[in-house]
Amino acid sequence: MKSLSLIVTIAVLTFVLSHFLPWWICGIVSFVACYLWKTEGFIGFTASLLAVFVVWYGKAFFADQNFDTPMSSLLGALLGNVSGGASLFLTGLIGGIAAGLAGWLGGWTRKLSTQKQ
Amino acid sequence: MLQRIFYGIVLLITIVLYLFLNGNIHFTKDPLPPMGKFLNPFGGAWTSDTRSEKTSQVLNMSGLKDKVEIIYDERHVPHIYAQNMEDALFAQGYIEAQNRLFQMEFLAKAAAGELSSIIGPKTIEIDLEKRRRGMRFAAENAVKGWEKTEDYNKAYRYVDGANAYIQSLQPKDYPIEFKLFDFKPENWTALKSALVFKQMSLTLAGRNDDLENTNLLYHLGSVDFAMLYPEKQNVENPVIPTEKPYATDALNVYRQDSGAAYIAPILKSHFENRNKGIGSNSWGVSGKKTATGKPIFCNDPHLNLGLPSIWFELHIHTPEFNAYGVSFPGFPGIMIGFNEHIAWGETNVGQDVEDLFHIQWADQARSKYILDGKEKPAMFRVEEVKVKGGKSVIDTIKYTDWGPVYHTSDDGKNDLAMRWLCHDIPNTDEYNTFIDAMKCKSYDDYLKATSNYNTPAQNFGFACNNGDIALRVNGKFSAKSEPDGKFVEYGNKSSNNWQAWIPRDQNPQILNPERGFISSANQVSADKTYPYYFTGKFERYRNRSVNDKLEKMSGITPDDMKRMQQDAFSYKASDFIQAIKSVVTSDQVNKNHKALYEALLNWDYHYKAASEMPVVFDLLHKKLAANTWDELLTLKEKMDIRMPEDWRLIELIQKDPTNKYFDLKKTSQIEQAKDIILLSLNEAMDDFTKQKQEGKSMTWGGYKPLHIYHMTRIPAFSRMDIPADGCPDAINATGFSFGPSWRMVISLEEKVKGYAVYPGGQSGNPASQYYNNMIDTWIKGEYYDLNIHAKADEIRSKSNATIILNPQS
Repeated sequence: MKSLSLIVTIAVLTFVLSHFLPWWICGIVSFVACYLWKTEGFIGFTASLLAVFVVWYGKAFFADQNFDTPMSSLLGALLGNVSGGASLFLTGLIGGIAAGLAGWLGGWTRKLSTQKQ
Repeated sequence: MLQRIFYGIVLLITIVLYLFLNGNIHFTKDPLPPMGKFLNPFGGAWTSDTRSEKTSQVLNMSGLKDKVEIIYDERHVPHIYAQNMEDALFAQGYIEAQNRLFQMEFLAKAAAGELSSIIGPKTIEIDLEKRRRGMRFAAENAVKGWEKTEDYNKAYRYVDGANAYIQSLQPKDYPIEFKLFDFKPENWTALKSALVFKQMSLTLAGRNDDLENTNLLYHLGSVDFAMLYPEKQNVENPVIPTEKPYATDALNVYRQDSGAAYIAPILKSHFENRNKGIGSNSWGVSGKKTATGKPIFCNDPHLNLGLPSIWFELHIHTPEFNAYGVSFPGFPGIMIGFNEHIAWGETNVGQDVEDLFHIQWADQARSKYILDGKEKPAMFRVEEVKVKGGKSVIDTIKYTDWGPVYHTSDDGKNDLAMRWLCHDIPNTDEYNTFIDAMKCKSYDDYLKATSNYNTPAQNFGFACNNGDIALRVNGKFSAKSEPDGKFVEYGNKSSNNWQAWIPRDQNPQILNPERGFISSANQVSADKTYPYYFTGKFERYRNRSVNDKLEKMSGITPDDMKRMQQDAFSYKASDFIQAIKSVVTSDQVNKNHKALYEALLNWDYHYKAASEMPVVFDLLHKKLAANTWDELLTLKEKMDIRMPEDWRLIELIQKDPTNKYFDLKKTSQIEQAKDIILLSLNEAMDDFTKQKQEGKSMTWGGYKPLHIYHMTRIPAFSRMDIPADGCPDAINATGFSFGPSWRMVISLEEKVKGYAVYPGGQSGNPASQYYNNMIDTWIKGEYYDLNIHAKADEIRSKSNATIILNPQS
C-alpha cells in the first residue's frame, strides 16, 4: 500500500511538473519522494521506474495521436530502424531508468543520513 | 564504509547519466542527441507546433499597418491577403518561419560555416571551406549595400515577421531537428537573409576552372589544350538568338598583357568539384504558337531535391497585386511565379564570375603582399569554428585587394586569392527584384525590376498576357576579353583585375523573337558575334531538345508543355551512338554482345525508369571516356584538372578517329577510336551482363534511383530509392538527388491559369501530412492547379487553418 501511494505520488507529481519544468524533474520528484517515503533497497528504484515509465510512455502514446505520420515510427526509424512500439518503450524506459536511479538514491540518502545521527 | 563508497559510485553514475541524457557531456566523437531531453514526451520530439495545420488563430502583432489574413489551402499553401506590400512581406516571413524554421536556420548556418556548432566534428572541413571562401564576408557586404538603398525597410518587414513567429515559440514547440541537435532558434536577421541568398549564389555561381585550366595548359601545352578543351561548338543554340548584329558601341575591353596567366602547376588544392546536375529549363511561347493565342511560360529549375524542398509555395494578394509562385525560404518575395499579368522565371547563367589570382607575398609571415611594385598589408580575419562536443578550430583567413586567400600552400609560393563577384558590395537594391516582380504588369516593369539584379546571374524569362515574351541574360558581368579569367592570373598587378562592367543594356536580351519562342537551358548566352568574352560552364544538350520541340510545335496547350517538361530524351546519348555507328560496324562487335549492341542501336534515347538501355549506355559512356582519356586520368591523380567535354569526344570520334589521345598508354600497339569503342563496348557489356546475372536491378530506375534527402541526410526523414525517368542531359533533368525542383506552366490567358508541382511538401515537419505529400504527384508527372483567383471566402470555406494577424493597437 505504501509503495502504491509512492508510485502514484511520483507519477502525479512528474506528470504535473513536467509541463513546466525540464525533463529531469522526474528525477527530482523520485529522489524527494523516496527520501520522504524512506524506501529501502531496490523499492525506491522499482517504484520510481514504474511510475515514470508509465507517465512518459503514456504521454508519448497520446502525443503520438496528434501527428499525421506517427512520431513513434519516425523516431523508431531515426533511432536505428526499430518499430514505433519500440521507440515508445524506449521513451518510457529512459525516463524510468533515470527516475529509478534518482529514487534509489533518495531512499539511500535518507538511510545514510539517519545512520550518521 | 563500503556502503558509502558504493553509494558514491551510484551517485556518480547517476549524475553522469543525467548530464549525458541532457546533452552536457558526450562520449562519442560525433555527439549523440541528448536522449532524455529529446525523448521527453512533455517537450522533446513528441511535441511540436502543429497549430498552423489544424487550428484557426487570431494574433495581435506589433509592426503591422493593417489586418492580414492567411488561409492555408488543402495542400497547405498559404494564401496571404494583405492591404499593402509591407504587411504582405511581414506575413511571408511569419509563415515561412512557421513552416520552414529549421531549414532557414540550417541554411544560414551552412552558409556562414557554422554547422559544426550543431552537428559536431563531422562538418569542420565543410565549415572551414565556407570561411576560406568568405561567405559571411559576402553576406555582410550584401547587407552593407542593401542598407544604403531607399526601400530597405521592406526587407526588414520580412525579418520582423519571421521573428514574430520565432518569439511566439516555447522550447517544446521547436521543430524536431532543433531538439535532435539540441540547439535553439535565434532571431532572424537581414544578415541571415543575405546568408541564405549567398548559399544560393554559391550553388549557382561559386565555381571556376582556373586552377584546372592552368594545370592543363602547363602539362599539355597550348596546342593540345586548345584541341581538347575548345570553348565554342560549331553548332550552338545560344540563349539569345541573333536577329541583328550586336551593339557596335561595345566597350573597348582592356586586354591584359600576355603574361597575365600564371605558368606553373599547382599540385594540391582544397577545391571541390561541386554542382554536378545543377541547371534549369525555361521557355515561353508567343500567342502565335498556342491554342489560345496567348503566351505560355514554363520554368523548371533543376536544383538539389531536398526535404524540406528548396522552394516554398505561396500566394500573396494585396490591392496592388495578386501574385503566386515559389520563394526561397529566408528571402522575401517570389522568385519564380506569376501574377494576373505576367509570368517570370530563371535559369542559371554559367558565365565565370570567380577568378583566382596568385599572391606574391612580401614576407615569410604572409602578412604583406606585392601589388603594383608596392607592399600592401593583408587584412586578417580570425575565424572560429565552434565544434559541438569538441574544441573550436581557429583559422586565420587573409584578405587581399582581390578577396580572401582561398588556397594556401605549405611554402606560400602557390597561395591563391579569390576574386568573386558575390563578395562585392552591391550598389543597387538587388533584393527587391523578387519583390518588384510580384507587381510587374508589363515588359517595362520587368526590365526595371530585373535591372538592379547583380548575382548569381540568371536568364530571366518573361511572358505577359498582352502578348509579349522576353528573355534577358541578367546580372552583373565584368567585360572580359579572351582569355581573361580562364586561368590563374598573377595577382601582383592590379591591371590583371576586372576593369569594367558590361553595360546592362548590352547584356544579351531579346523581346518577341521572330521564331515565336524564348528558351534557356543553361547553354551559352550569345553567339560568337557577341563582343565580350563569355567563359564558364554551359549546357550542350538539353537546349537542343527544347528548341527542336518548340520550333516544330504549334497550337500549344498547357498539357503539351507539361508533357514536354517530362521528356527524357538525351541528345548526348543519341550523338554518342551516331558517332559510334560511324566508326564501328555490327559485325565487329563481340558476338556474345551482339544482341545487346543491336538493342542499344534500336534504343530511342529516352531515359525511362523501366528501361535497361540507359544503364548499358551509361556504362559504355564511362568506359569510353576512361579508355580515351587514360593519360588525363593518370595526371588527375596528381593534380586538379578537368576532363574534356563529351561533345568534344563525340566530335573527335567522328572527325579525328586517329587522334593520339585514343591510344591506350598501357598497351604496346597504337589504338584508334574504333579500337577504343570496341574495347569499351566489350567491357561495358561484360559488366552489364555480370551485374544482371548477380541479380542487380539493371533498369535505369533501379540502377540510378533518385534520392530526396533531408537537409541533414537523416534517412528517417528522407525519401530514397525513387525510380524516376530522366537524366541531366534530358529536359526532365533528374540525377542522383538533383532534378526539376519546381515544374511550372503558366498560360497567360485573359484569366491567367497556372499549373505546378514540386517534389516535397509545404511543411518542414517530418511528421506532418504536408511534409512529402507532393513527391508522388511529381514522379507521376502530374501537376496541381494554382489557385490565384480564389477569393478569400472560397478558400476559407475549405480550410480549417487560418491565421489572422491584427495590428497591435
